[in-house]
Amino acid sequence: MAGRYLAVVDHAYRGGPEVQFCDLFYLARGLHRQLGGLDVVLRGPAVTYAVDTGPLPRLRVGARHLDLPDPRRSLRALLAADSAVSVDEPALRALGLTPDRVLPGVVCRDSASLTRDWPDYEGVWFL
Amino acid sequence: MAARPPADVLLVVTGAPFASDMLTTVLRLVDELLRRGRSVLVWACGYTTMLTQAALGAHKPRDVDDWAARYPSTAAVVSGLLAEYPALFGWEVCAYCAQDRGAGPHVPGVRTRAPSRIGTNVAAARTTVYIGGA
Amino acid sequence: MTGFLLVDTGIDRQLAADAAILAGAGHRVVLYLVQDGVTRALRGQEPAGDATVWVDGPSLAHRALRPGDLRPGVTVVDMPEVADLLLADGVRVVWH
Repeated sequence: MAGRYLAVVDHAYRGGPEVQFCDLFYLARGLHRQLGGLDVVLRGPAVTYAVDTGPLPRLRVGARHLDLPDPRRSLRALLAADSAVSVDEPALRALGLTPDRVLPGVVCRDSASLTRDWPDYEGVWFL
Repeated sequence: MAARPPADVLLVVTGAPFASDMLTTVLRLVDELLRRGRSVLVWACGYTTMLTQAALGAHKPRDVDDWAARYPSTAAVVSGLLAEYPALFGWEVCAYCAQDRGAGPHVPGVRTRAPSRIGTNVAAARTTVYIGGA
Repeated sequence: MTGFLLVDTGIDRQLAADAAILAGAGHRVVLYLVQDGVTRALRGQEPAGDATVWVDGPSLAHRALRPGDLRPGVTVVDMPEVADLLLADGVRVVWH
């Protein structure tokens, strides 16, 4: 992990029509490209970003229909770019959810082991 | 410009965009009320005053993953509603909050009002919902 | 008796307790959980006394939560139900 950065996300669902395609993981993928490597840890309510689901409801505003941010699509793109994405498993279970619900490629780990990785990163950033 | 009649629902929106699903919920509610023929007035305070700036243009910045795709700006979304429901929908911006944040000028149809206007709006509305967070 | 529509949009707020107190005092209370507030409707979360609890369907969907993840007794709603109540006579809306 030398030279890589770690992005921690614990504040989720920040913006809908004002964000659209440009969600947190779109940003993270840009950082991943520029910095030579960025991994992501989801904790708190943000763990549901990694929970798989079907198509999302669109936002109807008068005659207009908007696609709201799709964090799973963005996470898949991040994983495809070789970023490691981990979920804080106790936070997931605190919501009554289980690891079998998360996206393929996302790893569920205990909180302490995720924090113990911090010294191995060039920097730890809360997005 | 003719005076707008009292609103069935006044939404005082002071929470910050880009921080939660607040704007999604507000627009869902506005859409539902307008479809029923109810009149709605949004009073935009705090950072909500940023959403209707003319400088935002019609579209969001380009998506580097799909350079051809175009996504509407929040200003365009509000403008669209104002055009679609001219007799039922209004969007007023708090002049103090806008000036304090450098937000403006705003797209046509959005009115900038003195903060002292809020009491008048509340008095005239059948129902007021205060959505805090500024 | 006053009707209340309490709109809970966040996490770790006291609106569920407020709803229970108001309902216990004899008021008609609907606690509408929306945005991050929907997590309060999950299994293992405290109920809101005698208040009616609504949970927002689109907010659940965006969080990949299913009706089966919810505790018994909550009702999944969308904006039409909320608008009906908001427009009803004698209902105060408290949004947090």
